[in-house]
Amino acid sequence: MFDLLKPPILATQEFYGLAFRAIRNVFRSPHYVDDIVLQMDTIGVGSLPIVILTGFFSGAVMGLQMSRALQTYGAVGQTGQIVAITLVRELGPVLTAVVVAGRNSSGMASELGSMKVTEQIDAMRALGTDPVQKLVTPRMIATCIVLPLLTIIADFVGIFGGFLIAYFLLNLTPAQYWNNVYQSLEYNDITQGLVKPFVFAFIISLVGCFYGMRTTGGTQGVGRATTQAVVVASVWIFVATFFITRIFVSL
Amino acid sequence: METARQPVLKFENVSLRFEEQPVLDSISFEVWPGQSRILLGSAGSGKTVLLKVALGLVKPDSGSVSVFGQDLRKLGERELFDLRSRIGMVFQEGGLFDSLTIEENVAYPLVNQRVLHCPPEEVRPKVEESLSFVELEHTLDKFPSELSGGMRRRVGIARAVVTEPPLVLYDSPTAGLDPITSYTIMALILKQRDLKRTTSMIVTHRYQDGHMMANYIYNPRTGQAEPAGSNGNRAFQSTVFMVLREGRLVFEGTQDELESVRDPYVAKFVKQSEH
Repeated sequence: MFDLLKPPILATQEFYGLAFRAIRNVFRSPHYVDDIVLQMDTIGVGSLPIVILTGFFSGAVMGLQMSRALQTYGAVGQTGQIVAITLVRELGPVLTAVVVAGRNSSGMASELGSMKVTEQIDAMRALGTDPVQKLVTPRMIATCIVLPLLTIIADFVGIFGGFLIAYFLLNLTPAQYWNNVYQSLEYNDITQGLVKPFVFAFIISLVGCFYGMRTTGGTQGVGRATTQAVVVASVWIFVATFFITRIFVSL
Repeated sequence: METARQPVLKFENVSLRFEEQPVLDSISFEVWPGQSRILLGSAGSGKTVLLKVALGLVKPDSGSVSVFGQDLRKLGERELFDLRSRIGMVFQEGGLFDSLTIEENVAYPLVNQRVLHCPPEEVRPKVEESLSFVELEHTLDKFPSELSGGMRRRVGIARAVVTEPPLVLYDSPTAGLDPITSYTIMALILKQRDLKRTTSMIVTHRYQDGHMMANYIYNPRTGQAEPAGSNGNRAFQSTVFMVLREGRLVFEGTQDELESVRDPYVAKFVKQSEH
């Protein structure tokens, strides 16, 4: 029984160890600014097309789906409110994070994993750099900066997608829709919508790096690490969003 | 002369287990300045791990490791980095960073090792010197993936010795290479030993590598490795052989002693080379 529990507990301990060192390194020199900028480009600019597409279509779908339910109450005019609130509070952050996790947690796990199995991580330590400082911390900082920005873009594009549906299919006027959107959003929604991506950024980067750094067993191991990173990161995003929502709902 | 009186590297009863499997089993030995240690052993006998323990990359479960008289157990991670700047390590497949060019790879220890305080304008000349040492000065702007396996290992050597460390560890420098390339690599290791007087520790599964270390010297006039004894050259005396078997040190001694050992496992390494 205890033997079964040992590996997951050890892994959890290792994960927190890595997270602690990665965060501590934010306040310690040397800072690898070049690496942070490079990662911001890969994670942020690289994810932009897919984030825009996901955001746009999820907003449009929300518009379509909700209009049917709203018709029953004769409240099609409220489409803007529904789209805006669901996107800003929940769908924007979560979908963006899941998409970025699929793209970048896997990327980090496979990159660091290949470095691990070809002894580049060991070489790094042998040649005077802390791999956590050089590899993990820049990825974490970069994700924390770009994920909230990507979420804002996804939110906006999604609301715009909802607008196109409202305007062309539901015959709402632009003023009706945008006014409804603007009126319905409160500071609580916006805060919640920006706290979430910030937390998800830690999950995406640390889980990706964690599985990369503990890769063993050659090329096959790299594949395994990549899959695990995406699965675990995605699940934790959904778990985390539940708890954050719980906190904000009771505020 | 602090280094002359104490061993460069000292293992005392070092043991290590990976998931209940003993990898190193109370290993003790001392490497003295100017010595060449040949560590023989089959795959999985713990050779690579032993080098990583010496570098402080892997912590042993028990026993103590001292490098240049400093006990690794007493050093923090930052002090370990400073200590590692005095040890060169050549990784099995070169361990080059494939996102960096050859120039950046070789410059990496100079730029990143804080204790070295290498001024930026001296980096490039040192990198060029080190690459010309391994005769790869034309590859500066290439990436590791554009080089052959043998060339990557030569770059690995260039990177390990660019900081002129007094101790160099070689992890299977000839593994998986053809005999001619292996010979080139070994000649480079001889060159490093004889020109820079570095202490070296070479992990290998090929007895020929050890034989070459013990009986050949580098001739700076011809630029070739030559058998010691020809042209009045003296034989290189301080080559010590060690044989590792399943984490235990089963032999330590000179080449003559190694060749007279009856133990079948140890004798197998010597026989390899006789045909």
